[in-house]
Amino acid sequence: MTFVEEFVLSGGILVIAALTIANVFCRTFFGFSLAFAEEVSQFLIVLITFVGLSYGASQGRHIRMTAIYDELPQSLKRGLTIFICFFTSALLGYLAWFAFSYSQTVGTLGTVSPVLQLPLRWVYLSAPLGLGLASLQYLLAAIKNLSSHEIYLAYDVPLRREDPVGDGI
Amino acid sequence: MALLLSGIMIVLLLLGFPMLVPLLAATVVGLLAYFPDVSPEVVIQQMIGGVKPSALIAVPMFILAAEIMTSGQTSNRLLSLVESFVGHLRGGLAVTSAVACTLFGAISGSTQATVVAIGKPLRPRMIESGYPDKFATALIINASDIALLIPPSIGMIVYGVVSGTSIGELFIAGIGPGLLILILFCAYSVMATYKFKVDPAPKSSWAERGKAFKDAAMPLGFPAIIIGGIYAGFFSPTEAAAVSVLYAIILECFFFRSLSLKDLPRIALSTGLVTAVVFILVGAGAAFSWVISFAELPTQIINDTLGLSADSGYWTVALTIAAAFFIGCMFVDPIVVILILTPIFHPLALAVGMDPVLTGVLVTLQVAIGSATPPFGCDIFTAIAVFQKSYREVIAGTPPFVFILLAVSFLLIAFPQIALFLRDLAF
Repeated sequence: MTFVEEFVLSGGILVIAALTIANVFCRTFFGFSLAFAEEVSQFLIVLITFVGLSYGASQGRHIRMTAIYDELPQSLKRGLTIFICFFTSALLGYLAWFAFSYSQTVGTLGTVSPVLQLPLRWVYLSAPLGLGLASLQYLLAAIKNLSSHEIYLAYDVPLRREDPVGDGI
Repeated sequence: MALLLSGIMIVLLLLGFPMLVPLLAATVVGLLAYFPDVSPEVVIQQMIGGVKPSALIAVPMFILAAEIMTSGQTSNRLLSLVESFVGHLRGGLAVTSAVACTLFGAISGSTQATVVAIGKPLRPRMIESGYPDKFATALIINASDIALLIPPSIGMIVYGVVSGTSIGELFIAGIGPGLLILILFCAYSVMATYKFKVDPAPKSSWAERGKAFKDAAMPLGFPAIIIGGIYAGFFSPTEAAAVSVLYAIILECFFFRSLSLKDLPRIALSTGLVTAVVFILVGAGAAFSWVISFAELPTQIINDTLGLSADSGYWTVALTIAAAFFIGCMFVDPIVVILILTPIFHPLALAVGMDPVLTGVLVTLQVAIGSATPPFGCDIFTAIAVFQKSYREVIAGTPPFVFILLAVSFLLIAFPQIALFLRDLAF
């Protein structure tokens, strides 16, 4: 799974760069635009956002404001981490459900993209997929924290003890 | 309603939830409590709509270009160039840091990337040659703010998309205030150096300067591509960003040979992750904005809570906007603040006749200052992680710099031409 996510993120960014550059070249030197370039880039951004949501969760990389969290004693911090993971998992799972039904709604309407005529439901399926997998990642992290004395930001990512954030105050 | 939603956000935020949770939780609660008949599918629709505008594609492109250049030699070459000219003067290394932060800001759009790229190599050298640690650290954090004002700027891209303001015009208008801050920081650094015992760096010969200039000539092509290309109408900001990626690849892989093409997927993965982490906030912010606009909260907040209207006058409105964005960024990531507050204040600014470009520059300046201001400005935490220093040590030297930045905000409100004269010249 991680490999697929990394492939999508890295490949998505490189394809967007290549398409946008190709578009500038075609317009400047050959006088025509690649109409599909912008559309594909938009699809890829949606894909990157939601795949990255789950990948970011598995790497413990989502942006947090930890100034108060870092000051808490270990036991309280662990309890809070478990609560954060369960709550986040539940919220994302709830949204994943509606994201799936949204992609079905779009599917029933048969909406297609203007240039490539691609059914939008396939693009929008990345939302329930990303939200669902991220929900699972937070659930796994919660279970890991329950079964360990260490604190884990994600299933495989312990909160680093040498992490300088908050030390020395 | 406003109280309930902001309460949820603040509590979850302070507890240390990932920032997307406070946003999404407040959105869902607002929707369920006030519009029970509307399906939560709309949250997803707004999130997707929020990340889709094609102008936002400039963000990952500028991040990718900056990451390629930070992994390669570009930032070091810029540093050597600046140092060869001003390093030997009084306060030379301090001035070098400030100028290098500005130059690096001209190739990257983020303050945090600048803290890393310039702060990492320069801070130890400043301390070695006798600058107090707290001065060096504070200078680097605050000078990195300039990066957000000098084009390209991720903050301006997001503001431009949310408010419908021309990103090209915002870019050009950011240059004036950015340079003004640079000049004031340099002046303060030189004055402060009288108090410190600093070993001046040896003076470079003109031959050395010539070589440094030759080495840095190609990296200096970035601002030319970005500003020149957009201004001359060759490309949109997004295209300028993609062309800088190509330029960065050509420089680092073929001229400097510091990277190989095989490194690109690894760098692109890191860009993809950073992009996703920011864009999920952009999506969540768009959903939240939608719910509060649907509930007509912005008008309530402006008219009832703040007691402002179209008759409030330029100064009151400009100062309120400045204060709101500044305080917001002392707590939350700048992108989130811009996403939430812009739809609330933008109509009011238009109503009192503020130029949207001026509002955008003022907002960008405020979020830059807020990000470097205690208690929770996010650049402070970048510095803590990068420099391995405690919170208290990192913030110790910031007050004079924050004071200068706030003074520039007043100047900008009093004399909008600081930002607008270049824009009027160009467009």
